[in-house]
Amino acid sequence: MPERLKPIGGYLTITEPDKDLVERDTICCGHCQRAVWVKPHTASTVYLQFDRVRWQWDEVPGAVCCVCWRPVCLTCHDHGRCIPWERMLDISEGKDRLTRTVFAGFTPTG
Amino acid sequence: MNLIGLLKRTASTTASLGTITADATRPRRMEWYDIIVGSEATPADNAFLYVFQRCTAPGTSTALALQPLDPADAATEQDAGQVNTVEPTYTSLLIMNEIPLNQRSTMRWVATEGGRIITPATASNGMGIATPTAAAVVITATIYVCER
Repeated sequence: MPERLKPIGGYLTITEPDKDLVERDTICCGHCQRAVWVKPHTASTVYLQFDRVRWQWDEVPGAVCCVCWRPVCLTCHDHGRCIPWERMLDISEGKDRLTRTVFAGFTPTG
Repeated sequence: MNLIGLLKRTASTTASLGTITADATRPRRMEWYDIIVGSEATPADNAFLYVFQRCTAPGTSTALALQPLDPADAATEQDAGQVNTVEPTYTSLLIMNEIPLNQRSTMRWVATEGGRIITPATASNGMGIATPTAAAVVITATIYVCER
């Protein structure tokens, strides 16, 4: 796959005595930065979703945001709004800076 | 500035392993890029679920010093804690990673340059590690972060 088409993400390994090494790629959700596990050899189009009740992995179709064209996790896909993670950081930090600026040197009276 | 944090506790399904959060008065961005989790207890077949979730407050825990990988770096502004007695204020649905693991197993996740999990420079914001499925044995997490 051309370098420019490779989703950016990560790589994980799970080692267990007397068992084969488990290796998985992860992609970074373009909205919340979640590390989504992906099925090998699917070009990150098939996600691995963990079911806590059945304690097993399910293979589900991946998702892409049609606004920013980044791969997204299924939670952000269900959310349906495009707020890239860079914008989310700016919003969070902006609110915090405003709060600290407004209340800088504020001393409660009474 | 690259830092390493070693979190350890006897696992609990109702109390988190620990948190790494921005300082309340001098917050800085932080990138999580290397995570190792496992158990140092006697090998056994117990199921664990490690959940990495964003939080807006660290809760109450035992303070932990993040160590710089380069001793020449200045002191970090980040706050870290382990063995939570009061849970962090987790942000609903913002689970960054979910790792089911056998007690015998060790998991290591390494991010690429553009795949690091970034926590904002917002007072007391960061990420915590919860174990909603766990046995009462000692678990450890080695976290590599980069303070911006």
